[in-house]
Amino acid sequence: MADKIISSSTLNMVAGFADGDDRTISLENPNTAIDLTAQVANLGTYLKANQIVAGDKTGADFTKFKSAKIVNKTITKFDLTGN
Amino acid sequence: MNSSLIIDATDPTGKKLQKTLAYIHPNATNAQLGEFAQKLMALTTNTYQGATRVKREDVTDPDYTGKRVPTLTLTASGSGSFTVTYNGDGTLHTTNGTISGNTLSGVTAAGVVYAAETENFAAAIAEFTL
Repeated sequence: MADKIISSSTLNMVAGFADGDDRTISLENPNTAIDLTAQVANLGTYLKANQIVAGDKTGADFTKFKSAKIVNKTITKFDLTGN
Repeated sequence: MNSSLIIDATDPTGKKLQKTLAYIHPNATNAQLGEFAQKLMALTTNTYQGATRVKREDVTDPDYTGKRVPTLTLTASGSGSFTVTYNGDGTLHTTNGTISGNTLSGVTAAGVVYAAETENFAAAIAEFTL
């Protein structure tokens, strides 16, 4: 056996709602070849015009994406055989 | 009412993946949800395959309003008071009396539990709400 390295990437978008509630939408495999900042902004505009995601309380409309981050995760599994 | 959205997609290696969003607005239309699902996948290198809307409705059964747990306190002449309880299990309970048919007696007997023969009385008590 040898050490194993597993990598993954997630786009975490924090959606803000009128009642102050937050929801995070996480997407695996973000496309870094496109302008994600602009695309997330577009999605925010779309969600404001079309209330598709809901907050905890009725009537708590989506207001904006507060932040969007790409998190790159690397998990290393060390082989301890022989230690 | 509660709506959620399940998005089916494949990752760049062709492996199937599913993404569930539980916080969907109940008033969102199916067309909006389908469009939204594709917009989300467009931010990734995954390939959109399809989407499913799950709508869950919880309605209280109008014929069943829940278990009644009435407590009835009666005063028998010359014998003081005693308490009869019915918790919906088909059995009347009294801590200090005896129930027989529609008659309560023996208020000095303690800790006695009586059953089915008190059906009429049980029905009457079941109508009694706290």
